[in-house]
Amino acid sequence: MSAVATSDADLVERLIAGATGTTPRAERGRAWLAANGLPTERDEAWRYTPVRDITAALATAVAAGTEATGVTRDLVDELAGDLGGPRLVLINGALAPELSDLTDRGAGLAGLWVGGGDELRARGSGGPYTGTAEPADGFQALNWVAGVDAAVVLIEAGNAIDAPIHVVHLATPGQMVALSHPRTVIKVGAGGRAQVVESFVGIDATADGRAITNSSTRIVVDDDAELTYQRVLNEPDTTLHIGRVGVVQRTRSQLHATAVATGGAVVRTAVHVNLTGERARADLGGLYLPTGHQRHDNVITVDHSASYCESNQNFTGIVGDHGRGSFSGHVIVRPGTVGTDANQSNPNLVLASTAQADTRPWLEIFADDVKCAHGATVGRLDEEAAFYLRSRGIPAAQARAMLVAAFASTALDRLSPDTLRERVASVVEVRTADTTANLETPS
Amino acid sequence: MSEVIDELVEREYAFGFHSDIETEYVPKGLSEEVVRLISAKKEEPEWLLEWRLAAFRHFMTMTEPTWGNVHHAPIDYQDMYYWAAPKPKGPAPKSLDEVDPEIRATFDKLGISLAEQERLSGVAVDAIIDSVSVATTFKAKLAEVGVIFCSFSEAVREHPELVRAHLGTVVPPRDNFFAALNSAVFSDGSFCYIPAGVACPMELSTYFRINAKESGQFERTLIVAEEGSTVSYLEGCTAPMRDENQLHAAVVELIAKDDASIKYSTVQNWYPGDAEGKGGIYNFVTKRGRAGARAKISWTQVETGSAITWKYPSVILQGDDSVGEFYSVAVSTNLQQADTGTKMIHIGRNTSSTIVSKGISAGRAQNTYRGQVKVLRSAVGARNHTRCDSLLIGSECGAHTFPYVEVKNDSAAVEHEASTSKISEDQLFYCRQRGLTEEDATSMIVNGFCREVFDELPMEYAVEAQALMRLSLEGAVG
Amino acid sequence: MLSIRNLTASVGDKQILKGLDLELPAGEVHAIMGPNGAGKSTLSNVLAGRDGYEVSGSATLDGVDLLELEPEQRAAKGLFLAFQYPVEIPGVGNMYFLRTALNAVRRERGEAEVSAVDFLKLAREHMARLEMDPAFLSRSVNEGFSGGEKKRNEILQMSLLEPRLAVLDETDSGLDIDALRVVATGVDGLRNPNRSMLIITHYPRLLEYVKPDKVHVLTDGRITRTGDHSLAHELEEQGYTPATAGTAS
Repeated sequence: MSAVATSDADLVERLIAGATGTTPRAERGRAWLAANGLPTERDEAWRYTPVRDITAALATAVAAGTEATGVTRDLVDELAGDLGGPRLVLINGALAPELSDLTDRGAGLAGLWVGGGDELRARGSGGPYTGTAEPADGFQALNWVAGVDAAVVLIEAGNAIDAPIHVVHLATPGQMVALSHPRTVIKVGAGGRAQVVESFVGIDATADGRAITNSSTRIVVDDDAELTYQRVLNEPDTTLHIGRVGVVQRTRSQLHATAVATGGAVVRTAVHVNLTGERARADLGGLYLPTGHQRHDNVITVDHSASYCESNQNFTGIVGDHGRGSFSGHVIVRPGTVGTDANQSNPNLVLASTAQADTRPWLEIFADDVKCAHGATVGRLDEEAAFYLRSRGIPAAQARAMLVAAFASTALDRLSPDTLRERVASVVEVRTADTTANLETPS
Repeated sequence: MSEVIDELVEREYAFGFHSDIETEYVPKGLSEEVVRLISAKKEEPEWLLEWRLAAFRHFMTMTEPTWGNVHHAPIDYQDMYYWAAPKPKGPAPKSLDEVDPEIRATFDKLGISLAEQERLSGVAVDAIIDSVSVATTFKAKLAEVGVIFCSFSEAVREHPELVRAHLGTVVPPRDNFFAALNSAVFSDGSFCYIPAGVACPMELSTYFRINAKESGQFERTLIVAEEGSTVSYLEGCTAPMRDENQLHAAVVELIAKDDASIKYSTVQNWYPGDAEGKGGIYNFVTKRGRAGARAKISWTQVETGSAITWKYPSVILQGDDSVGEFYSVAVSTNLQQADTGTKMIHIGRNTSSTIVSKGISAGRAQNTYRGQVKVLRSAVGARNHTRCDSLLIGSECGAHTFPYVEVKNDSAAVEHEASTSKISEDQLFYCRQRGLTEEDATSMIVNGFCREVFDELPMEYAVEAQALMRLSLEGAVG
Repeated sequence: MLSIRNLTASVGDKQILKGLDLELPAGEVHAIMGPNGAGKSTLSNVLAGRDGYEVSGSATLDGVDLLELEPEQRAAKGLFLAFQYPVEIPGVGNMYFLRTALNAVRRERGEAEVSAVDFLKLAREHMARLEMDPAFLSRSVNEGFSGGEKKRNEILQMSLLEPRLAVLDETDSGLDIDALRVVATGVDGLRNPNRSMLIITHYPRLLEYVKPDKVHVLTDGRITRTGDHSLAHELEEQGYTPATAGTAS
């Protein structure tokens, strides 16, 4: 780990001093942060994250307030949609019961417990909030120290919940650079099944205000359980978001996870899946779409620590304008495991000569009974396909928009329910419309 | 399969003998004094001494890099000799006949018969033992077309203007820790100069041999191909079996000017250490070329030796339409560690690069491909294709693939594909059904796996590489 | 020549061959037919010694129990398997592969190795008979071959290696009518009094060209019926079900 840089030392000290957590986990986070500090761009996993921009913003940040003043249900619907199932709404990391739909929609579902951090404590759940794990990095440590509440979704063993469970994290920075630490805990008990959508949205910042969101989502998929997890990041273009999803999968569990980032000034999505039980399957996919001056960084790790597991990473990058999109995929196959099947794929579409795409599909393999493959491409739109469409009478801009949409569709098709997919697809369409219209005519 | 792997025997290293050549050392350790002494021994001009000293001073401010996927005990840079050379038994030899018979015997034993090379094979050889070049063949014939091929020391004496104009222009002395160390203490190496428009009439080859104890080898190779010229160059290397680790920190600089072409092939077979990982060469090498407009630089390497290999032969594609290639086979067995790959830096328009890497891990070895493809904004129309395959033989080894692809250009097309698997049971069974033993079948399949790379080697070395591969795997498979 | 007694084979908990008996005398050609999943391919794999099966019983070739031997030792004893799906081996030249295999077998028989020059001549003769383009020799083993080319390559190997016992696993599958004729004629041309063949097939069309001395029906892991060549036609017309029902009940 990087030593604490001198210039950052004061910042770290101030961040620790301002955090109030007193749980054992908060204490571990505090100690870890004091010893190791925040990561820098010299850390391999942070190579493509503009850490300096984030620490610079942190220097003037204050803890975001948790009052829901002025936030209405209509606003939440508009920003994140209503998927019809139980919905938890958190303002700057704290549960807002008056905006959430828990009892009326959730109570009818046997075996489902949703609520805030109190819910978790009430259930005394073992699992992600107990244990002695160390934080993965300085930002997660900070989340442990400074987070105020959590969205909690617990599915009891043997229960299948069909309705999508929606967790909405809303950031309201007001006039400040407001720092919040949203947390979500999802546990699907043995043989259970559920679908959780986590949306990150924000209210457009004022001239002086912007949100820094340091989120942490912890997921346990127990034996034979199945979870569909969808993470939709569509924050205002001033937001800085450092997010981490930590997943533990047990025997024969299945995870279908999708992460789509469209908004934000900087969005870092780190997903770490540990396959700890045999025959677990993780199917991860996503789309990131930095345009303007956005930076989207995806750091996806699948750790095969048990035998006969299967994993897929399929992330699509579309970069336009001055945007920069990065993918760092990492498959680790531990010694002594057998029967591993792992794939990584990362196609990138570059829409402007000023945009940048980085890809690092990494394989780290310590066992021989494996079938691992990865592929990554970086290129522009297929001009021949565009020409074909145009020769059929479709105007150039529209032809290109169609091809961009087609490129995005692998990822978008993963989304459900339909309302969610359509919602995200329309955001993608709007975001790419400008940038494709600007495409130069091919020479 | 597993029974066969269980039969793992220590792989024989055929080149592990030590020759009894009287050796001259400068005192152990690294200091400004040592740098001056080396320079003085070589009767170098002032500018080169200053160049070395600047590198030395900078080196002292640097720390050893830790990002490589290799692990070793700390290297004590004060506990080795930076200069070791066969002691001359009289005035410098004027022809091969005058070369110390013991040295000639050494190269005969290695299968590099200097005299025979000269007579038969038509390959010009520069033979280097420890710190100095002991013989260069075919010089006269090469001189007829204006090609200069000699030891680095001789080039400094005879062609100082050429050396000075190009030395450090591709790998600056401050480039990295090991390059800085090399720049301070480099002993000898080869120098090639191909005049404009000349196609070098024969393969050029340097053979490196570490013989002395507790010494490092720090050679420096500089190849300058003037406009429109072409050259194919090959290096080979071996070392005696010794219990302690020995450091080899070389620098190779290639300069291919407009329309020139340099093909650089390496068959690296330094002593890899024994089956328990004792001894062996630490091979920390910086190799880089710069290609002018329409120029081509092609690296081919077959890496079977060394306890640790840390090298990334790279190409700076500076000129428009320049081409870079990297073909690599890296085999690691027992406790060998290899972290090797390439960098392709696309600067010019319509530059293209190809990377083909084949890694084979067996025993308890760790084999890492690390490669970077960087397309700068100026590199309009750049192309790269990377194919990177790893084969695992045995359940205790590791194969790691760490590509970095960074594209700042929408007109670029970059493709990276990779796979990792164990040797196919179906292929093994098919071969065995036709009567091949498991070992023969494995060797055949592995050689097939590497075919694309072997095909890039000059003919006679392709055969040698295959034999070497087989020898390497004999330890691992049966 | 080949004598199989009470042969069983299972994968995990699943038993596939359930006590199979078969006698194949020298010089005879027998066909084994049966529905999908009856164990036909398992039989050929077990005879050739592929890993992954739990095997009991015996299978002797000229009195030597094959089941005790490594795959290459079985090959040296004269067993040849023409694979249903010949694997591709990238980078390994077909000619190099064939010559290495031939010399491995010849060494075992105590015969002198064949030089590259002699081999090339030999290979060309055999290829001409199979209407194969000599260019095949310079390509990698099976790599990029069409289905028919792969099968021809199998028969070429059989022709060169001169096995004592050839097991042809679904050699006719995936062949168009012209390729079938060439392959089948090639196989028929390799019949001789010292060589036996076991033709495993789903369809009788190959048997039109290579008339078997006997036809066995393999259902559910056992030989359930044995007849002469006419049985193949009967099966084609009526399918396996009546035949099975007839003997099983």
